Amino acid sequence: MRQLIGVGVDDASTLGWETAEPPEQVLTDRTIRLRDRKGGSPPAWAASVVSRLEELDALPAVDPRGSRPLDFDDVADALRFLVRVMRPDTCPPWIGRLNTGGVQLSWHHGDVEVEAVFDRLRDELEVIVVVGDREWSEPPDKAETLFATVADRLALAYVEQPTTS
Amino acid sequence: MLVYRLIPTCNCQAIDGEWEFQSGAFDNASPMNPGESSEDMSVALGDMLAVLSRFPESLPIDAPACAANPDDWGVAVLASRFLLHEESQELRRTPQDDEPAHGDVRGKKNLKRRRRLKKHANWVVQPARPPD
Repeated sequence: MRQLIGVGVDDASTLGWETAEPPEQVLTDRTIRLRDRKGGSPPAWAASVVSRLEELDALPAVDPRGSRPLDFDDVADALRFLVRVMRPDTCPPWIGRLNTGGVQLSWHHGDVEVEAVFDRLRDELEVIVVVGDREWSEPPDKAETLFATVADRLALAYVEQPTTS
Repeated sequence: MLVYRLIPTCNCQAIDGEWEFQSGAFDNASPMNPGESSEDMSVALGDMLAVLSRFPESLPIDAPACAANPDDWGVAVLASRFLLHEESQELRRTPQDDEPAHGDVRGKKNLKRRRRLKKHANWVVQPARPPD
């Protein structure tokens, strides 16, 4: 199987974002290497995200009538988005592979839903945030502020509070 | 009429021990051959299943695409009325050699529409393999 994402713990491809500076993303030989400029241990969500992407990459198909392999550029776009918006305490998203080879990310906690798609083949790049009955959407490169509005609700430690009438 | 969509576990999130299909489960197939439409979502047509005395619960076992691992596939149901009148989709009878009840739900399906299809759909049968 091709190597889609470089992962290591002892070399330059170590996943790690817990530093003041943003991570450096290097695309070489069609392998995505996520590494931190200063080292540091990876955040809680990194391992599960990479593991899931590798799992999806290994699937022969995701639709009974035809689907494309996981698209390298869509994976890179999704990872760039995660690097920008994820906090160390953010729950990892559920990750899906679209039939086009695109990537879907989704979070669902209580009445908060976030869904993001990265699909260059269909020119579909969109982040949707839903809170209760209200819905907003932005392209991923402009969705940091939108995501930040619900980041607390997507934290691992967030506990739903009972509503009072 | 009802239509039935095969859904693999890779398009489902495990929540509280149950499979929950995600919006990507209601996506158009990517054409494998020149000339095929890129706006078709494969389904089984309920009226044809009835004519053939078949049940939607058996689709994961019947479908050749699922033969390798039928336990990894579930079946969701959607109403054709919803697809035609609320989502502007076209329902086509496209019998195949390996599935005489085959149909296609033709039309664009962007993220917002896929989300509405997800909201509308219900499980007939979840994948037999329980979530880890």
